Amino acid sequence: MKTLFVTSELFPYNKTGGLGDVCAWLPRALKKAGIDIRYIMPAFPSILQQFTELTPVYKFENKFKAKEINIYKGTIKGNPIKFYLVEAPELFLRAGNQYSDVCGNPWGDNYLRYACFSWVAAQFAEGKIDDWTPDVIHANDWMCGLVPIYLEILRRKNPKIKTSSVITIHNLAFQGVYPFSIYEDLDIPNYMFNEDGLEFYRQVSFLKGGISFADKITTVSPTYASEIQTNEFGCGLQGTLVKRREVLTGILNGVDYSIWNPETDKNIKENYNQNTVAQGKKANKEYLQSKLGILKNAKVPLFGILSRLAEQKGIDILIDSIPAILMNNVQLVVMGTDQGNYLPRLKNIAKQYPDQFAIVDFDEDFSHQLIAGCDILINPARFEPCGLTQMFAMRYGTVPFTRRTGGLADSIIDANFQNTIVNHTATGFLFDNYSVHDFIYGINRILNTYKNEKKIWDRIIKQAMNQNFSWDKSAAEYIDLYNTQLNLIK
Amino acid sequence: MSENKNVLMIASSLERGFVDKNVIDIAIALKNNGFEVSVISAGGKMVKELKKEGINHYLLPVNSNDFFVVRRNIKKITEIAKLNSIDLIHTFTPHSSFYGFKISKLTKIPYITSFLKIYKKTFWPFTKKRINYLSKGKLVIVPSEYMASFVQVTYKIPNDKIAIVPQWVDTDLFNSRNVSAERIISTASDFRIPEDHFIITTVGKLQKDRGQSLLINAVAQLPKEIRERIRCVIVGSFKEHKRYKTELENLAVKLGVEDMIHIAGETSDIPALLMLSDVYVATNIEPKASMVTMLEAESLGRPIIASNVGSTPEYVLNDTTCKTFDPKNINELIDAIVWSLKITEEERAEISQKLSTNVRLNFAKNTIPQKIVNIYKYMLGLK
Repeated sequence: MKTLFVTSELFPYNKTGGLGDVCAWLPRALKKAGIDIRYIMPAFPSILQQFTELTPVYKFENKFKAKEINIYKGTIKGNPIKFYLVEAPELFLRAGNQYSDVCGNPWGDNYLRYACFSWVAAQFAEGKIDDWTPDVIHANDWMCGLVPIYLEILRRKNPKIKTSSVITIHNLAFQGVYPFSIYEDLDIPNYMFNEDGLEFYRQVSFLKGGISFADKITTVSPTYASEIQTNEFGCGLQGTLVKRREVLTGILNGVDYSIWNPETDKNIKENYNQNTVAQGKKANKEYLQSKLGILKNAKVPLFGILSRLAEQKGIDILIDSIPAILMNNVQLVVMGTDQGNYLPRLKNIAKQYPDQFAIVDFDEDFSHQLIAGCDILINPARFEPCGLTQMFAMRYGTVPFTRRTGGLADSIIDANFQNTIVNHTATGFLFDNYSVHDFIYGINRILNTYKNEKKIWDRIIKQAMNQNFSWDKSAAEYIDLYNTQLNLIK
Repeated sequence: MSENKNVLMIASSLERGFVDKNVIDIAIALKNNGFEVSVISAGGKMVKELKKEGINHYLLPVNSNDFFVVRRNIKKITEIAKLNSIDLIHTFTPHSSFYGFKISKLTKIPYITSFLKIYKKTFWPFTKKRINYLSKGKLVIVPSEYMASFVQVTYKIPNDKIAIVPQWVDTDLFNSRNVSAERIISTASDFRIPEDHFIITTVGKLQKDRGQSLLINAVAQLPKEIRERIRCVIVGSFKEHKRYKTELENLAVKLGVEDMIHIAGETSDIPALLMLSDVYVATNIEPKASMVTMLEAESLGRPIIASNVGSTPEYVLNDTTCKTFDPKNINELIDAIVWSLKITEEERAEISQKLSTNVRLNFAKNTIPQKIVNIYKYMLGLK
């Protein structure tokens, strides 16, 4: 089976969020499972510089205000997957990142840039580019939201085209919405601008277009797939998603265990596995405590947060809860980039509790030390499409405590009576309502188990470390989706 | 286990049926985990299985309602509990739970219950009270989420006193590889099942709320060319409902499907009967607690058609291997039968694989009783 994987982000070259991680690891797992998968990306400077050699394979002229759109083929050293790069210097060769200029302001012509990129990706279905016709074009998020539309236009013109489209929603909150005035630049027939197409309250929504026309829609966890069909999580697209629920599936993201493995992780103080977890975690905890400048004491429960400091991540209820949490003789460390002006308040708290509370900027290497050194990793998110840190934490024997939402609900088995005592399957703690009260109640549940139920706590750690969230598992589900649900023949 | 713990299980009888089998399997699992197990029952065919495993069995008429017998039983069970230094009592029926409650009160030994059946509403205060004892254990074990909600609402049992442990199947006994061709041929001849016919099977006591008449009606409404290809085997004890069996036979005659419907009593070889079947149908009109025969059919890889009442949805796998239907809508049952007839050989092999794997992973005798052992450990502070 041939799959063209369409993305605007790729770890480690130009990642701005979780999308880049998923787009780096899922295609590798798909390739490993036998799929002929190739990337297509815009030729951003950060991507271009990875290639030593590129071969031109096709050229379009005078489209999307670009004189020439060249398609190049190449490979990056160490990456087993072939790349197609869409080069249109007027659109993609700019300073800043893929969405905004160096000052962080979004490019005014993003609609044109990503329409052009999506259009080119869809053209592969005709088989003229590089003599390679994908069976599936797999688009990701709003940036590639127009791929299913351009593909649909081609299929209506030429019924012999059998290529199918899949769109994955990584975070519904980002939709690519533009005023109607840009519509004529998109080269999309007017009849597609309606409530069953691209129209979103008289504006143009790239993501809604993708959702409306994709043959299959996936999200990054089964619970998120259900949640986005509700008013609370649907971000205005719940009606469209309910209409298309027959083709909507949730597939949990995976973790790259070659990077996130306490047995081999070079960033942590002492490596450990299930058999040596007690001493390994103790050494890493003491190292983390001394590095953070908080009181060095292996017996004090150490909570950690590794997250963007943003409203989505529940930082507001966390801040309101900190004094109550710290009253229990525990320690707390917060690592993340501030995206909501939370830092001043957190710094104030840190001044009041210097032995118990620390705050640090995000740092990739240090994040491994934080996960290895903490006893409990907290994520009180309002919503979380998938989330990765809880999966990292479990592999490191760090017990996750999160809200029961999205991928958190799908990846953590709550330590309630049934799962702890009867099934022995508990891997963490969950709370339901987004409130300070429920959050603190959850913290107390954890502390009770941590302090009074050592056998149960150890069992939770062991069970958590046993979980398998490898990409191979996710890839198998995507292949099943490609094969079974799109009725494609390998 | 470092400390020896002594447990007592009280069962009304050990004759037959899934509750009695539960007692045996749990007792053996406990023994294998180092517990000292004693069982009290009014006896039955399965007592020998306990003896074979070296488990103490005390024969007492605990199924009797006679006031003097009951009084004597309380005295004797108290003595047994003291003699064996019992740490925990486990009961399974209203009768045995009555004893659990009384002995617990007299000796302060905690008791837990397995609430495995849905007991019909009754106006008899005595029976009502007996059923209530099932809900008064320190912990109540139920076989499904549905039952958990049911006992929570009906008997006001708090959520944290309920543990869910699903029913289980002996996956060695119900393994297609372990059912010989001879057994299958012999069962086919016992039931006079002709070759080259599509066999629909349902197993369960013949009684109205099991919905056997629904199946006969559905068969009668199938198109003639389909109807002629099938044979429907209805197997179950009718000792308690002899009249209902006659009703079913008359119904088949009235609908002109008497040649397609075969109503039989019990069979000694359920695995062979299920192996003969192309599809297993559970037509319960009202929620039933026992899912055992359905699980046995799944374990042997048979596709399932089941009414969507009670715990059923928790025991079937998905839409590709099982079809559920609303028992109030006969057309859904007819559609499901037609679906089963259209399953190709390749699909059947895939269904079989999926179902038997699911049973081995989630409902196997070698793993599920261990969950009850976990509960014992928790109750006894061993965690």
